[in-house]
Parts: sequence; C-alpha cells; structure tokens
Amino acid sequence: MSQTPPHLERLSLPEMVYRDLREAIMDGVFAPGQVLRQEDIARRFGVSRAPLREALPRLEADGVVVFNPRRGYMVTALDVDDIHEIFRLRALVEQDAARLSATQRTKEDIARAKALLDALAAQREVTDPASFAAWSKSHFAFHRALIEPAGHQRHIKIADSLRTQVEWYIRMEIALTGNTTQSLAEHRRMFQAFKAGDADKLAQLVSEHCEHTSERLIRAMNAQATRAAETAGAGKNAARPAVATPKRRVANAE
Amino acid sequence: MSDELPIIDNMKSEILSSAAAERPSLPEVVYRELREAIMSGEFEPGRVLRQDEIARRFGVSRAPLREALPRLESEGIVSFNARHGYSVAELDPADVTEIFRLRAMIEQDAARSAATMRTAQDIDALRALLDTLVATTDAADPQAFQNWARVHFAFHRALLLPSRCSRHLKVVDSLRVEVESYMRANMSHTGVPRQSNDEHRLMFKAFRDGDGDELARLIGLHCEHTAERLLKYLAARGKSA
Repeated sequence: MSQTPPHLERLSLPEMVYRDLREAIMDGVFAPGQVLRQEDIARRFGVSRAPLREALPRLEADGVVVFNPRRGYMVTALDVDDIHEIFRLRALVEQDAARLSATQRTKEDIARAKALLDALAAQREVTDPASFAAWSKSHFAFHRALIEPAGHQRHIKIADSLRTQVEWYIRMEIALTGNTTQSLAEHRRMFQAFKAGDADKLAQLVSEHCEHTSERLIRAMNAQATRAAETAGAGKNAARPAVATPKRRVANAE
Repeated sequence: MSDELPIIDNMKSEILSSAAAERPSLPEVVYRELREAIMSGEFEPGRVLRQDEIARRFGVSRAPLREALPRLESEGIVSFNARHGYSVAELDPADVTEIFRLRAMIEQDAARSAATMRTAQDIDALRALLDTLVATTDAADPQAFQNWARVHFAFHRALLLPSRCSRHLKVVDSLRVEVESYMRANMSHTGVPRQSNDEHRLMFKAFRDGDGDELARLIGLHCEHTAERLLKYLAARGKSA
C-alpha cells in the first residue's frame, strides 16, 4: 500500500508499521470511528501483532487513534469542537514558529518552499485518491517547510501531529468541492511573506489560513451530515457527521 | 507509588491522568509509574533504561514495557537510540527555552477559556490544591517534597481543565513532564521559592474572579520565572560537571 520513503535507511519493523498505519489512516483506508482490530491490521501489513502493540500507543500519543477499554483502538473521529480546538492550537504554534522562520530562512529554505508551492499548483486538480495522495504529500511538506527554519523541534512535532489528525477531513472536504484553488491562493501569499522575510505578515497569513481551513472543514462536515441524514431517510441512522466515504460518492454507496 | 496525600488519590483519575478508565490496563499502569519515576528523578536524565531492569523494578514482564516506552518516546520524555535502546531524555538550554515558550503560549490560550468556563466546583478544587501546596511548601524531607511536586503538577492542570481543550492539556502535560525532573532536582536543593507560591496564589485569585487576561498575564510571568531558574540551574550543573 504505502512505501517507506527510500531515503530512510533501515527502519525497525515497529517504526515501519507505525508509519504505514499512520499513512493508511491519513489516506482514508481506515475511516474515523473505525475499530482497528489488531489481527486484521497484522494480516493486512503481513506482520505479527508484536510491532502493532508498539505502533498503536504511539499513534494514540499522536492523537490519531484513541483507546477504548472495551473496544480497543479506534481511528479518532472528530466533531466540530475538535476541529475548532485543533486549528486554534495549530494557529498558535505555527504562527510562533513562522515568525522565527521568516527571519532565519536561508536561500535553500526559500527554494524548497518554492518547489513545494509549484508542486501544489501543478497538483491542484484533485480527482481521485492517487491525485489526493500526491497533493497531500506536497501540502504537508509545504506547511512544514514554512516553519522548519525556526529550528524548534517541538513546534514542528506538535504541528505535524495536529495536521495529521485533520488529514482525513481535508480529504473529505476536497472530495466535496473538487479543487484546492482557494487554499492555493493562500499558500502563494504565505510563500511571498516567507520569501520577503516579513514575520508579522506571515504570522497573520498562517493564522487566517488556519481559520479559513477550519471553516471549510466544518462546512463540509455539516454538508456530509445533511447528506447522510437524507440518505438514511428519517435520519435514524444519522450517524456521526463526517463518517462517509471521502470519494465523490454519496454515503449510501457503502 | 504509596504514601500520597489523600487529595491526590481523590483527584488522580480526573486530574493526574488523561484516561478516564477506572481500571487502567497493565501497560497504562506501567506507563504512569515509569513516567512518575522519571519525573521524580529516580531515573535521571541520560540514564539508559534497560528493559529487564525496569521490568524487575516494577515487577512486570517486558511486554507492557514495550507499549509504555514508545508512548513515552512520542511524548519526548525518553529517547531512542538504535545502539543503546531507550534512555531518559536530556535537555539543553535551547530545549528549556523552547519548552517554556510553547508552554506559556498554549497555557495562556487554555487559561483564558478556563477562566470564563470554570464552575464553583472547579474553584473549590483549585483552592484545595492551593491550600495543600502552601501547607507543604516548607517540606523538609524528600518524600514530602515529592508530594509537593505532585500537588504542584495537579494545580497547574486544574487551572486549565475547565477549558475542555483536551489537546492543549495533552501538549502542556507532556511539555511539563519533560522538564519536571530538572525542576524537582533544582528545588530539592534550593527549596520551593517563595515567589513561586505568591504567583500560585495570584493565579488562583484570577481564576476565581474569572479574569482571563490577568490569569494569562500571570501564567506568562510564571513560565518566564521558572525558565530563568531552570536555565541558571543547568548552567551551574554544567560548571560543576
């Protein structure tokens, strides 16, 4: 399914399983709320349960899965309050790191961010899981590139984990709207401020981007919930919002 | 860990731990005990954590350790090295600066919400923690000091709890755990600084009065002062080493 990046030489098995499982969750292979049965996952990745027992607590620490004493590990399902909190926290942490980055970035940092921005522009039409995966990788890397020059490992780690937590929802939002043009315009402006070394401007844009993304995701979650309620008739199965296939299909296709 | 103050026992499930489960699983218990052993300084920064040794110390097999250690690694409390295995993470001055910078920002954000959302029970709980904190400040023996440190941890957590920002709390918890053993090592020499309890008292008042701005300001100052003390301690330790 997912391949380990080639530049990462000799990963331990638990580390590989951890990365593969995280990526599978981000890719929507396992949907929010889904119970992760250890034997199923072990079979899917062709490993024993031992490395899973190390990977799952790590994913729990990342907030990507939750542990329920009765049902075991489940993919974290988010509600509107969670989305608000995640983007509020992300805005804080990314703004702080971005301010430092804007003043410390080197020519190489600018070139790298530019390359990722170009990739985002080239990949802006997201029509299927493969094109989403490509766009998503660039998107993740672009946001990281804007804060990495600050050299603050904890800021980066927290921002990474918050970004990972909402990935499935971003996918769903894009599946509904079919394009990434609005966010691309914002990414361009962020890059300009980063390149110009304008710390205040970059911080402001990062904050606005978080706000807009949060709003878009919540709109998409509501739309998805409405749609699910309609398909479920009287709505007795009006399950949690946002548990629907991220592809361009209506919810009853499952 | 025996011999805890009753107030800690009462609040353990709500305040000290994030998992609400009444009967925690064995890996969860091992995780908490190991974390506490690191915070108390029993396993000091840089110490290699040999799995057989820890298993013996806690009277468990190695299986629950294999779940607890990666979790502690994710939280930045232990680090993993392909040759030496797991060891207790060490901090340098840049780490301390980053940790307190993040903590101030995130705690201030959660505190603003907490100050407007706190209930009468939240205020009572925080007052009880403040009273215990003040009563145990002049603790002379090491065990009493460890108790003070645990109440201190619980006090800071209780300040933010009403915000219901579970992610803010989780991040702040793990940032606090990262520096906890250094804080305790420092204070076990110097004693609890008087300034620190004055600040706790003022924080309680702002929380009680629902003054989010004042609470945020005080938290900012408190983080600044704590970071300064810790940096001094690191510098002194570096010289004597």
